[in-house]
Amino acid sequence: MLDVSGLGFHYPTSPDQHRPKWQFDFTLAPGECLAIHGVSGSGKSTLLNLLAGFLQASGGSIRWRQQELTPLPPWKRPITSVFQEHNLFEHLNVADNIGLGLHPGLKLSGTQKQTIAAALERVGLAGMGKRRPAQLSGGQRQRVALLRALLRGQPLLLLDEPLTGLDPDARHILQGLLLEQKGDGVAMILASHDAEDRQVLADKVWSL
Amino acid sequence: MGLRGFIVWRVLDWPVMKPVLPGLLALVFTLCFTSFAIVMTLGGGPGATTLEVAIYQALRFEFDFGRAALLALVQLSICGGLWWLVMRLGEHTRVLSERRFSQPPPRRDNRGRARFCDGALVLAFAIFLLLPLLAIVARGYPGLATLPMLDPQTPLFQATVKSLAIALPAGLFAVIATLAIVAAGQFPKAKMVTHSAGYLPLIVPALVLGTGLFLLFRPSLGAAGQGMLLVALINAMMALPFILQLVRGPLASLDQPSRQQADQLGILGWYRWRWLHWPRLKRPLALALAYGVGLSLGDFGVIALFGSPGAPTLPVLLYQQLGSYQLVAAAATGLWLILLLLMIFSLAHVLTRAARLRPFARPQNVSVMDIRHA
Repeated sequence: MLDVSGLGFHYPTSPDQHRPKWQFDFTLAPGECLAIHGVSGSGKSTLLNLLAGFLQASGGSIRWRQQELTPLPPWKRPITSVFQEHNLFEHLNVADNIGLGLHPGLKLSGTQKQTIAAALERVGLAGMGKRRPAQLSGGQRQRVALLRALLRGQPLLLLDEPLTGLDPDARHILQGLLLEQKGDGVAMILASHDAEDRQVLADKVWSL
Repeated sequence: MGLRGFIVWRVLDWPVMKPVLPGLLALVFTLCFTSFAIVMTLGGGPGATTLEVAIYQALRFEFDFGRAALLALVQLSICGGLWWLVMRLGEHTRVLSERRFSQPPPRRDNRGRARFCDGALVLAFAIFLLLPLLAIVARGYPGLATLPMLDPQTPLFQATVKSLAIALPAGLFAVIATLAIVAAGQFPKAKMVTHSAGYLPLIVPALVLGTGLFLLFRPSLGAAGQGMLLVALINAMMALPFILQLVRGPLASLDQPSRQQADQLGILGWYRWRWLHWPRLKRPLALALAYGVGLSLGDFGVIALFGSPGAPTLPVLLYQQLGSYQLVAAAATGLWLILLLLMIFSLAHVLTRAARLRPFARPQNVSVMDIRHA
């Protein structure tokens, strides 16, 4: 269970630094998806960045299975993020981009390499392991980003507009992949402007 | 929006150029102000001297160290004052734009008279640059072709070995120093120091630095070839402002989202350098190394203070040959220096050539399956 309690944040330049601009309280069970939406600046990305550890919270706690996450750096949190863009390293090929999710030094075993190849094949990207992100369409890139996130096997998935701008087919494919992960007990927080995404994926919706 | 001609220049070009101009003007001034080699080659001497030539004469011929130190201080205060003024403007003072190895988009207004004027300017400068080069090739080729290049006894061979013995370490020092400066720049508190470090060689000209070292270490240095390490170090420092600009841009191209992704994936330390920084930096670093080696190969400032006439580097040999009216030999040396530089830059280019991308792939049909159990 993810338990977020009194998680606050204010910008360092804020005139009133003692009062957080945002404060978040919610719980999320494994296999659940919380969708958040709101206008620009409402705090969607701030919440995801706080959970991922990209921003330092000014107070409160994030607990996952009784473990306090706030003092942990991003690489020690049981979390994977997928953004709308900038998910892939442009100078590395598809297989290496995914492989970095399995080992940060790309020291992959034969089995792990086969896993990557098989995973690519199963999402319709067979034989594209050697291609660069610039040679893929938007939907293909997001599939690669999602593959990397899923192969990491972390129990918490943070999704910041991951399906925005994709064509209906690509969107449908990625929605299917995410639903399967939910079925496997992965908890998700989805920031999305799209009502259809929220309807398909979310168990609860939170308007910020 | 239908903007044309002067309005485009006023609204788009000028705001981009304006903040860079003070730094650029100061750079050009500094380069001209410290053009020791050109003044010497074209006949600088007691009758037509500059501050740098005067320092050189005071140190090497008149042994008037007090005068040399005073002249060096004058030189330092002029260069330092100028750059202090530029920095005080508080503007963006990067001397060269950050290189990202990308092609700017073609401009639609670059046609007709504007295109002709641009072409004419480029052609004029190309002729100004190419004519002396052609003269060197025409006069130098016969001399170079008949020279036994691999004979270790020839002055050209010995000068080449000496030049490379200084220039290769100088290039390496410059690259290492650049990396250290850039790495230190990641820490917010060191940012100002690292920013200034790139300008220091412009504020303190090579000959001023060399004068100081000459005075510090005399009489042990300067008479023979013992100061070569110092020459390499000073040459490396002088290359820093240019090399820093080559490296900063590609390093900055690792944007914030990519850094966050890297943090989350645990790509830290050596792994971050190996997989994220090195692929972006290997081409600029190779070019930086070539710059460092090239600038040091052509150095005729610091080497004039510390070098020995009996064991010259290539530029010193060239100067000696010109001074004794061996014009064919001088042209051959000049041509060899150009060929050497071409070889170094070509080698840097070939060794770090980027892989070519294949064309865009069409999306394929996809089946949704559980990939985590793949």
